[in-house]
Parts: sequence; structure tokens; C-alpha cells
Amino acid sequence: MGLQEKDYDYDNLRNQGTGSHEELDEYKIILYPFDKYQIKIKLTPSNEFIGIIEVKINKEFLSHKQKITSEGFHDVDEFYPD
Amino acid sequence: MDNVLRFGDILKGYIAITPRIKVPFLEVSSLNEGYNIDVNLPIFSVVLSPSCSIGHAIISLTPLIKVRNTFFDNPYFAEDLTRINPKMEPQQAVPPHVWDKFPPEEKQKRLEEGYGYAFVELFIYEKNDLFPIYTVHRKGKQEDIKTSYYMIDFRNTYKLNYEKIKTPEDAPLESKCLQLSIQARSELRDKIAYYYARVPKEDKILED
Repeated sequence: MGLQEKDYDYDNLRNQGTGSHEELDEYKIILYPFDKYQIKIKLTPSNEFIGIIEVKINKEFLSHKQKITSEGFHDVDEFYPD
Repeated sequence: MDNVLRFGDILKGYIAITPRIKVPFLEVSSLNEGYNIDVNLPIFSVVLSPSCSIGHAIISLTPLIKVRNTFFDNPYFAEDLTRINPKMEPQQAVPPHVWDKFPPEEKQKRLEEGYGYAFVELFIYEKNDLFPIYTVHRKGKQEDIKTSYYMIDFRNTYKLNYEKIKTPEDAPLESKCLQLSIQARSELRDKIAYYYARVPKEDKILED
């Protein structure tokens, strides 16, 4: 039993470090743009799918849409008559 | 020069046609209004069929025409008229004296458009010894300019049937005079694609 406690302390020390309580890298979160939405996905460090955390409107995408639907050209013909 | 007809090539010897009507022929009596078909022989024509679509006795052409004299009013263009072809900053699209006179809100509106095309219907062809030099008359006391820049206007495009145009390779290559560089052909492709890809305001509302 005592040995097991030692092992527990050892693992804590190894994983968390002295004076540190950092989160373990057991998963990662990525943002995936899909149409108008931005999906927050949880993956393992080896990119295996764990689950969807959040789906929200991709505000950046809307601004991009505004960009691509803008006129995009300079209306200058009137300044260059034949 | 490649032994093949390609998009943007300069050809000689092909007539250009322009049909003109006064009213659409919706009923028999409309025929009384008559119509005209103007035929002329431009010095050069430009292939506007995409390279892969040249063949089956059909080709899309547009005549090579003289540039507008007012292009030379803009020092940015005057230095090299092919600067009209790619996208540009809004300040570059107008002569400096025009830009300076824009009210602040007009400047802001144009700056918001950002980097974009001017003259979306036009594409300038670089000066070439093969092209006849002509005089560009300028207003006021400005000196006339001799140039051999030419341009095409996408709105002048017409179809020509010629049975010898079977494929890009099996075509009357003796009529081919010049071809664009890969970069210039790419610029022409991008610009004509943009010319057709513009979405009208009324359709933008439906897309939102």
C-alpha cells in the first residue's frame, strides 16, 4: 500500500512538475470552419476525434463573405472619356 | 511561337461583324424597321475562346483596337499601359488631380474597395514592332503621343465559323502572328473570368 502511495506521488511529480499544476496534454481543441459556422472539436494528441465542444457562427467568415461580394473593382470609366 | 492556337493569340485575316437592329423582331411588322450587319477587316484579331474550346469550326474573336487617349492622362498608366490589366490600388486607377479633388467620403469609399480591377472590359496588348504605330491626340496643350499599344474590349467578342479550325493544333496557323507570354495569358484569363463573374447587386441580396 505504501509502495502504491509512493508510485502515486512519483507520477504526480513526473507529470505535473515541482510547483506546477499545468494541464496534461491529453487532448487538444481545434476550430473547424464549416459554412457559416465554426465548430470547436476535441481531438487526442494523435488527432483522433473525441467530440464536438461547441458550434457557433463564424463571424470571421461573414466578414469574408462581405469581402467577396464587394464590388472589387474601381469605377473610373467616367474619368477616361474616349 | 507555338504551333497551336491559344487563348489570347493575335491573328490576322479574319473579318469582324457587328449586327445592328432598331427594334427586336417580335412580330412580322418589326422587319420593316430593318437591320444592318457591319463587316470590317481589323488589322488583327484576338482569340477569346479558351484554348481547350478552340475547334469544331468555331472560334470566338475580338478585334484589336486603339487605346483611349485619356489613358495617358494618368501618369501611372502612361508609364506602362499594361498596368491597366491587373488589379491596382484605388489611387492608381485615376489621375492624381482627380483623386485629390474627391471629397473625403468618396476617397474613403474607394479605399474600402481595396485592391481591384479598373476597366474590367479592357485588356491592353504590349507594344510590338508588328503593330502599326498610330498617333494619340490629346486635349489642350498636351503633346500628341505616338504609340503601338493596342487593346481589346471583351464586349466586342463575336463568333466566327471556319471549317479549317478543327482543333487548336489542326487550324490555319499561318494566320497566327503573336502569342501572349504565360504570365500575360494568365492575366487575361483572370480578367475575363472576373468580367463574367461579377455578381449584380440585386443577386447579392438573394445570396445573403
